[in-house]
Amino acid sequence: MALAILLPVTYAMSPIAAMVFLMAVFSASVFGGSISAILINIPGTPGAIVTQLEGYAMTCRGKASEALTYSLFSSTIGGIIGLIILMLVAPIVAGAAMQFRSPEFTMATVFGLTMLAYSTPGSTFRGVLSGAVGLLCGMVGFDLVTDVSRFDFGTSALQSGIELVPLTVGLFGLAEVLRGVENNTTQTDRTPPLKALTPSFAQLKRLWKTILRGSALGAIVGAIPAAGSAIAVAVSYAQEKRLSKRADEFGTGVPEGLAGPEAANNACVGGALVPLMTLGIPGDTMTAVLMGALLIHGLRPGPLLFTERPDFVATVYVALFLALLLTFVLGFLLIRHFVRLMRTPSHILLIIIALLCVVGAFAIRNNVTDVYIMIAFGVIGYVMNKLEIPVAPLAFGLILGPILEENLRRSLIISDGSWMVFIERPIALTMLLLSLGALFYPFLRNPGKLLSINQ
Amino acid sequence: MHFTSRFRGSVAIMVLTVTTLTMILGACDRQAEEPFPSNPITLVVNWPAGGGMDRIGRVIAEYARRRLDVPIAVINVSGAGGASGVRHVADSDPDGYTVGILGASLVASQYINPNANAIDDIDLIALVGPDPAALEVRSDSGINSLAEYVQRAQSNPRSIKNGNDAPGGVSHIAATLLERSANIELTLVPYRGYAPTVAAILSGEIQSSTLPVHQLIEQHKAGEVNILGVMSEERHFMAPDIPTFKEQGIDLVAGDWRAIFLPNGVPDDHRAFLEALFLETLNDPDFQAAAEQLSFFITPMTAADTKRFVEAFDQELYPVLLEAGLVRARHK
Amino acid sequence: MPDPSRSHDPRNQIAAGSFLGIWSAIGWWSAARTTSLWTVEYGADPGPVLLPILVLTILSLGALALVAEGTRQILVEPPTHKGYWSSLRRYTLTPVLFIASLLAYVIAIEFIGFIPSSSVFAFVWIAALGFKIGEGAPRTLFFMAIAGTLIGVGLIYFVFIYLIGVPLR
Repeated sequence: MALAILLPVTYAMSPIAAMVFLMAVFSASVFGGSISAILINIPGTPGAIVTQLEGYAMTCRGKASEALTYSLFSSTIGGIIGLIILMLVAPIVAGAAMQFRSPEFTMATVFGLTMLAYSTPGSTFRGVLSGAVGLLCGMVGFDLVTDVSRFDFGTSALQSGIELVPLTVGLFGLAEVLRGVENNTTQTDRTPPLKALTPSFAQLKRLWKTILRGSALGAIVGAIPAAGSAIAVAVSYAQEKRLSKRADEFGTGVPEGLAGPEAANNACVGGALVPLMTLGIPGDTMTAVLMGALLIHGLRPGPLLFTERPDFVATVYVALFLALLLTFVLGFLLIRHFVRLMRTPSHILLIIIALLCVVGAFAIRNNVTDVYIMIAFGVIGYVMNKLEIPVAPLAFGLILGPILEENLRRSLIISDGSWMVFIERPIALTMLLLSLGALFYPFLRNPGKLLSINQ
Repeated sequence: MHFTSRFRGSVAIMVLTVTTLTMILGACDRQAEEPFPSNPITLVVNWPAGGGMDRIGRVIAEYARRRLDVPIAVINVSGAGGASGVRHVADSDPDGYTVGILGASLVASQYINPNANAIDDIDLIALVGPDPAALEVRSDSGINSLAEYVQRAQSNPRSIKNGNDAPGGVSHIAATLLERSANIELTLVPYRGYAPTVAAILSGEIQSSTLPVHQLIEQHKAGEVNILGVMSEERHFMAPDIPTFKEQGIDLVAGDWRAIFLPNGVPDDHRAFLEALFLETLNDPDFQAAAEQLSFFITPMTAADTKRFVEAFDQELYPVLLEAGLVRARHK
Repeated sequence: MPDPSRSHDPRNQIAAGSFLGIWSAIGWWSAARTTSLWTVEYGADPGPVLLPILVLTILSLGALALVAEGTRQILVEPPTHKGYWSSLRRYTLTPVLFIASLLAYVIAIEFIGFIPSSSVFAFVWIAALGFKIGEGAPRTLFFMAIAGTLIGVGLIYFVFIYLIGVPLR
């Protein structure tokens, strides 16, 4: 979002300055998205929805600066690994990404949704249902394949569909404000002294495997056009939960559950640049804006970019590296100040967050309807919290639902209606089997537990 | 209860401050009867930042601004396949301070979407230029000319999968028109926007696409994709070696175009001023050079010509949409 | 954040089931009204109706299961502690007022502009919440409200509207 809003600022710059600027915004907005996720439970990027599961839980326990430091370290390492992969093996990764067609996207989305259902804190059964509500929300508006408008209740307001930003801002941010005004306090109200809360080097070192796993995952998944960071973080979180000895504590502030997805989220930046630089295809909304910026400056990314403009390719690498470095240094210097912001008297902080929710929801499309949608989801998030239904799957349903439906139906159009297309293609089949495995593995270990309503 | 009264007094002061502020701000809005334009002008782009419409909108704003004493602010109001931005302008105050830019989606939306504005709901003041569609195939398909493409499609109907927009989108309409004018049948595969379509033709999921030339010109140069023809009256300046469809014996002109518009009811003098302003800007050689750099065709038209152009486009499109089952509102 | 290890109160099962049931009911109703979903043939494409039916079925069955399970548990072993329903209701007045005023505020932005409406909204709520907490003298609360409003609205105006140019005026 920051990238789209700041894009016009670069129109007057030289191409190289614009590139450095946009890379800095790109990298900083990914970490910035995590800061708001950790501190005030508003995910700034789709990837940060998973960040807040552990990050905000840590903040609620008075460990905000610890959470931010974990996030900053794993983000930076993840970002650098993503960049290295981009530099070394961009053409190979791009070639592999080209193996991904509609059936593979379909199954990748199914896999992402399964991982999410598996890993959501709280009841898996309720997580699945919450995800179903999210899928429904994703169907609102014009259907891509036939252009039929669904679930619009006859209003033009809903025809444009439900944007992710108003939904997440409402579901997480405004709902948190409502809880705050109910209790007269934020959950982060009593922030303990800042000293001794920054994790020690030893504590960080313990996370290195987690961070490496997350980074590798992010860089690979990020390179698949359109799959994006949402799937990468979901898979990374599920994986850390599966490997952790403390799986039951996930959702209450476990560093592994924060560091893995954070590394994945940032490694996606390098990954997402792979198809852009090698093939001229933007992998997600952020790189799409970036590509728009390149076109404005007369640069046309495509297969010939590496041979025709090696200077420019080098600029991108250096810009991304500088941006990561800058984000790290600034983040490091500013963490304590961010945390100090949280010491603002809670009633003032709550109202400022409410104002931010309104302006943020409006700014994404300059549309007042989005503000009303944000408020509606604020109420929905508040009610779901009271009823103990997890909200994160809803947001993921909204992100992945349209990708799933579009690719599923496109696969069938291309295969002329044959569902075998998901079984005949090895990558699609592998992901389908993995998803089924993830669903039934707990069942094999503990037959009574599968989708147990009570748990 | 002295604190309550003090509290109340403070509230009174606050209310007073706010009221005064409101009045001052209100007064700023109403600097009536001053020469037009004396306030900033807003240019509404009906697609998101970074896209083609946004790029051309911003270049126009940039060069129009040089002829004015007031700034032009560009905002993006996207959604509903471009219909949200059109509505934003159509419903704004007709004072000349809100201008919009739109494309061919206007014409299709009015039939597909019951809530979209019709052509009559807005006041078109200038045509920027066309953005013609083209036909691209994968190099490894072995198809090297339009004739071969048509022959392949005729001998084996629906065997060629063509990537395009959702129904009603510009590249979808181009594909439908191609089917009609060449008398062939394709399998139309919808994608969400141009970038995923480019990805699909590169990955081999589809064999051809009906995207504008500039979307695949780099891949054409690299030899991955062949551009078989351009659906325009004259050849595209970015690919002068590629013949038009008309040159190859198929009477087909299709693709997007872009136009500047106002809400209905703008006072005549303001409207005349804006029409002249944008016409001069579009004819400015510096602007045209900048637009060409961004791969845009610039063929300015006056308000009257623009209206005729759009009406003709509408006449041509309606039967196509009707046949495709896409007319769901405003039957003719 | 709900505690994952705790199994849910049967009355919560019913409440959550009903909430999800409302979603699926709205969904079915809206889908049923959209005639083009059901009447048009789309060839190889299963059409825009496949996924809605699939998801709505899952949602409806899940909601039903939650309600049924809650009812079963209550019948088998009636919960001993009272007050679950009132605990859901207890503090809802302030959030309801908050949402109502937030809606009024958003509508007001269009009529009297961003700065005045935001200032009123922020000032009233910071003062009211401060008053509710009851910390500090009224004078302090008042000045905190003024300061909070000035800083909050000023900062947001400066960053979003002045610097970035979001068209909220």
